[in-house]
Amino acid sequence: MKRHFTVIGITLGFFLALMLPVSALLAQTKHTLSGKVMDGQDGEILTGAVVKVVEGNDIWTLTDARGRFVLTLPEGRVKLEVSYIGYETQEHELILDSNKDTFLFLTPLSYYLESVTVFAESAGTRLRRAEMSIERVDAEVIRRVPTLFGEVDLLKVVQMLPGVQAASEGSSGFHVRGGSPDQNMILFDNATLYNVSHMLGFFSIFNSDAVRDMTLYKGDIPARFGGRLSSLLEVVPAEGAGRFSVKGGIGLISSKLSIQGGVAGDRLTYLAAGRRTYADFFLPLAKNELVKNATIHFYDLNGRLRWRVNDNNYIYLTLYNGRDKFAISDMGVKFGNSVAAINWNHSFSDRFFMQAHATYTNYDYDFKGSTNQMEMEWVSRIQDAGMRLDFSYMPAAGHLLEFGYTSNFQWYQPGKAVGIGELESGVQIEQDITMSRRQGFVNVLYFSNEHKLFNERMELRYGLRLNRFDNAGPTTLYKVDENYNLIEEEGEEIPSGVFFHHEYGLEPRLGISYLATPDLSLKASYARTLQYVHLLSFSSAGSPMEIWIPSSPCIKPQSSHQVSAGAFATLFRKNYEASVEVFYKDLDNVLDFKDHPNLLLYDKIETELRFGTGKSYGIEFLFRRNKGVLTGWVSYTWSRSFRTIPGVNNGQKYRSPSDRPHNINVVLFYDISPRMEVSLNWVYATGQPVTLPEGRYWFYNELIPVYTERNSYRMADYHRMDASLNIRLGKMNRRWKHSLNISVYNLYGRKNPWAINFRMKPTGEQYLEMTYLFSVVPSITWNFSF
Amino acid sequence: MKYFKIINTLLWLATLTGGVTGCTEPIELIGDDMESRLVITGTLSTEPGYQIIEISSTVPYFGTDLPENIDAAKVVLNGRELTRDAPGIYTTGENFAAVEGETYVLEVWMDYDGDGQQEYYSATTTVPYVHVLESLSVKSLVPGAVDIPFVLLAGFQDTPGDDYYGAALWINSDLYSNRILRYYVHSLNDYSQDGSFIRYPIPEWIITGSLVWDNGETYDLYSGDVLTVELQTLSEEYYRFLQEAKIEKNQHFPLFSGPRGNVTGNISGGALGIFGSYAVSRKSVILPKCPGLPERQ
Repeated sequence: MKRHFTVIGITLGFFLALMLPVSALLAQTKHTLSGKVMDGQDGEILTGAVVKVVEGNDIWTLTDARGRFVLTLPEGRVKLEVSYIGYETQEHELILDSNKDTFLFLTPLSYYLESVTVFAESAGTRLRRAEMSIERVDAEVIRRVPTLFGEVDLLKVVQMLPGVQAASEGSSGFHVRGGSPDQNMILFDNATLYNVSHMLGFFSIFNSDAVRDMTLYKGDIPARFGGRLSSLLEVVPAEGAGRFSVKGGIGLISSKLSIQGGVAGDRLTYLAAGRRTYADFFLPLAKNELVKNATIHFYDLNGRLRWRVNDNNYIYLTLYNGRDKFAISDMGVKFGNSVAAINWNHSFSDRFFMQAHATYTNYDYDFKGSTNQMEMEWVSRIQDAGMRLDFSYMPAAGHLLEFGYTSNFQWYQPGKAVGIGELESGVQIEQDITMSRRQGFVNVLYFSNEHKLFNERMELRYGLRLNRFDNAGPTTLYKVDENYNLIEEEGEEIPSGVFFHHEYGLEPRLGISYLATPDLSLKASYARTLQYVHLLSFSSAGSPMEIWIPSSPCIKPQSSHQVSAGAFATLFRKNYEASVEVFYKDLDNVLDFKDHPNLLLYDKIETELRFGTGKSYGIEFLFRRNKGVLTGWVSYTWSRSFRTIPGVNNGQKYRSPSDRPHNINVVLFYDISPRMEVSLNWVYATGQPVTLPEGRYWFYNELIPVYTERNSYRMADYHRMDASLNIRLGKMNRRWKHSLNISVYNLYGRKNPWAINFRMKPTGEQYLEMTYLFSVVPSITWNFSF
Repeated sequence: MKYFKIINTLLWLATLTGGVTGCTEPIELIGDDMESRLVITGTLSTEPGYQIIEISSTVPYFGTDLPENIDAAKVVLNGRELTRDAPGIYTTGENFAAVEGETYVLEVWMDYDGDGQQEYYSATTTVPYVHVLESLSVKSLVPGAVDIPFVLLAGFQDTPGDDYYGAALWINSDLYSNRILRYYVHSLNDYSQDGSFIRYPIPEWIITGSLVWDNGETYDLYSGDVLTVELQTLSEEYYRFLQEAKIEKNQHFPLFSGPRGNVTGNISGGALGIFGSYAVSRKSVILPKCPGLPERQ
């Protein structure tokens, strides 16, 4: 008996002893630990850095867009482990005896010592966050990808991400999960961009020296963004560092230079970057007389200022101006963008933040030409002015509330052509063709809530956007009946300042992530998106002379429901990642042209458009290696995309122009030595759909073609390999650094079709002819920095 | 179409952009052969003469075969059977003239698919009322001069409402508009002139010393040559067909070409082709003596 009481007593005592820490914990005071994680060298904030409590029962968080974090922890000694890709992981220890706000600085990894991970965030981050279908790439990766004509290009990298395909050879446009190029929202410091191409799409407008990183949302777009159906590409401009430095590159057909520095330490930092091509310097060597005297070049300039007013207030200014010029014989075209953005970041407290933005974008083109009888000019322009207020509040660790308001006003001048001189028909000089101006106004309220559940194994994110879209005058409003015939031939004149049509829309968003094991997460998401602006693309062969128009009484907003689900795993101590993701998109009010549309400078464009539904679905596989001398990724996507539009293809389902079932992207980086690195990529995509005739018959002494289905044929499959070698010259670990980059675009000279034409032999036999743009394109660039 | 030349010139100039940036190479078309389809074409004119209905079959587009005519079992126009004059060619009498305002029904019976059963094909057209070509003159494109290049100015009274116009050109007794690419289809984009007297420069033919002719040849012009314009008021379905056929046959510009598609016909039963009508009015003008045109010897 005595022994039993002893056992019971010891057992009770054991459990009491166990409970004491628990009860002590329950009774323990907690405090908020907040702070900001920054680069120890240049003071740049680090978004997505992991702040983890060492021995803290898996308590961790990520820094937000302002580099800030919040944790609620028990009073006492706290040891934090802070990590961020490309930086040394560091530990910080402090005593938490009250609410504290702190700054944590990380040291960049020496570039010469360790291969960096290929993406701008760690595998662990990607595994845990609630969002899915996101790819974030930093400027370092962009610089390592092989180049065309020696010019690193952000959008060429985007086109190699899983689920993304180039719209056509040489184009900067891209398809995301079967969507069309205009269904991608491209933001540069929150300013909307409409055409991001230089030189017919061979290059994008983004100077990699002026870009910090980019994030591509392929469907699970956060509630604070909207306006396009397929994707959001958010490009964040680089900021100047406190220390003055110069960086540049001189290549065969282009050169660039950037300078950055700070005033009063890092209180005011600046960055200025410019580049220009000079391909036309070599054209006089051409045999073709037309080409000899041609002009072809572009330039762009980037500027960025950051003013740290105090620890709670930052002001940013971003400026961009770029222009292309192409002239041959008696014709030429100039086009380009201008962008201005100003941001104010304000911290009300360590948990409550605000960002205010004002942006302006202008894209225009000017085409001039002359013949024996006349001179003419064709101009078009689109302008976008926007403002947004974003608030974020962190009521507790792992809980984030975001809400805000955005407003954008767009001015569209789709086209104006003026004939000067006497035309062949005898019509006088004053004749012009003008498409009436259009205006759109979009206002949005949004909120989203993100929080962790079930011991932080699950992250739940949900949100809602409430939109109102308005049309405004001045414009000429054309309405069509159910057969797309004009109701009033002359249209209705709407005066300036009159708002004559509006649409409301709701866009719910939902995402969930479950950490099944420390190396496996399961995710699912749903998003509804609306689009009030539409690109009338004449052809898939890429052109700067395209037309954007807003929704209107007869052009309903496009809409999409997208569901995605996937599994994400990290392998071998997070050195490898594997993921599989499935998606399904249901689209409404997608538009296409009727057969034989009147496209060029036709004001009553509503009569030429047809509307219907679309579907896209597919599966994406990704395998990625993050560390080591050999890094990179391999992805395979199978997807289909169809449309059903009454009045097109006899109302039967047909392939959308972006239906390309198989897509493989291989991107590899290999560090041969601390001085030499090699990059290789290979892309493959099923050929682009195209409509070709299958039969013919006589009428009026001509052979009239007969077609079966729209887009029933395909161009040849697209594939291409690029390679580059980067050699660091001079002494290592010196401030003056220089390197040589040798790139070969299209290594094995694949003739990928850009367009297909019909030709006739002297015998009268018809045949097909493809136009291709590139064979093997080598380039060499010398880069330097100090 | 008064904006036609602006747009056409813009397209040609812009095409140079694609031309100097790309290389070309012939390619093979890989795909299933399309089954041949029945084609029925025919037009009725208010001008007395043989009116022809032609029946044929499609052939592969990229082959060397040319379409050939085929016979029907019976071809009837407003209840009256037409005469077979040649394989696939069915005609009215030689003095047949379509009547303005009348509706004509074409009916064709034939076993096209070879299943032993005759299929039935039909179409209707309502003959439009004529718009008389009241004046025709030549105007020099050189300000203040009487010299080539000339444009033809046609004057006629439009009637209120939708009217569909086309025009054909004769040079002396030769039909210059013997192909759809040399036939003029007027575009309906000037409603300010609806119901007015229209004095219109026809942009389709610029009269110079020589014009493009078939097989790469040229047609030389001389002062004293007679140019005859036939103004055709077209039935709506025929107008649409001509307009779309002309688009399909015109040069396609890769940077600006919209989606391709079948020319819209009006034959029921799944056949391709068109049954249309038009009213005719002609006027002639003589090319004046001028420095740019030689005289006939």
